Amino acid sequence: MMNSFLQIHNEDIDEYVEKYQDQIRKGVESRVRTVHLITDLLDLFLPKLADTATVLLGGDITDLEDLYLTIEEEPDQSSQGPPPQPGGANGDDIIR
Amino acid sequence: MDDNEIVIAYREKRHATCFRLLHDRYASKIYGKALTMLKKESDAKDATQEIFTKIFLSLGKFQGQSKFSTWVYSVTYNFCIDIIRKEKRSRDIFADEVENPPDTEVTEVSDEALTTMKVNELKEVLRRISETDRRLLLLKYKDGVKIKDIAKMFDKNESAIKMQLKRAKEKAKRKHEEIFGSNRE
Repeated sequence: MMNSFLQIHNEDIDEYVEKYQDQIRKGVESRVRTVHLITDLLDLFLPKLADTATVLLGGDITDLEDLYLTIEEEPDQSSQGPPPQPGGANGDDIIR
Repeated sequence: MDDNEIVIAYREKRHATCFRLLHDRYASKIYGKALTMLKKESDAKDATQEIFTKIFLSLGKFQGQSKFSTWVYSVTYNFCIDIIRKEKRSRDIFADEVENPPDTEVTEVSDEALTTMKVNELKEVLRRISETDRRLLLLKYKDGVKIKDIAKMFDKNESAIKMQLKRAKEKAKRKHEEIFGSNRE
């Protein structure tokens, strides 16, 4: 004989599937989509809005490219002095 | 595909198939547990919708340290407990008797005495006992929640829950005898 509590459990599940499953699935799906759409739009436009507000208040737009130099943009260290001469600093050493 | 794989796939692509898979796996169970806690079908239905929305919107918080099902059920029970607390406007959703049980002897009632009742009779009994007792019996025997988890859920100690459960079983059996006992003889 089946446990009566488990029968109630199965009845609850059947009731849900029969009466509410489609309705709740659609409801949740549309809510989740709406929230994701709003968050995606905010992600996309919030930085632009922040920049617009900054400019309107008289500030400058934060340009990430100015702040973070890439390897190519970094000043060449080697061009700051003459290339190293063979031998010592005064060039007296004879190299054999 | 196991739950964690579906969760990861959903997070990456937000694919409708992943959503449906998780929904079809868990929604009916969430509904059953909400019905245990909230009693009314309409409340359980609304709660299921809210809980599922909450779960999908906070999937990013699920770290995969516990099983997905454990996380889902803890969200479910916490949500229902919040609703009950709001409705009762009280800190405690369990009656005082859990904290301060009366000093009366409790006779041990076997699980079989309840589990072998006819379904309709059991439903009638559950309708007629107190809300606390009904909830406890359903959590333990219908939803299979462990005593330690029930205790954690309601912020009580395990022995208080065990004692309350013992009393609930006894009351249910007595109520059953009261309603249906005479029909059997």
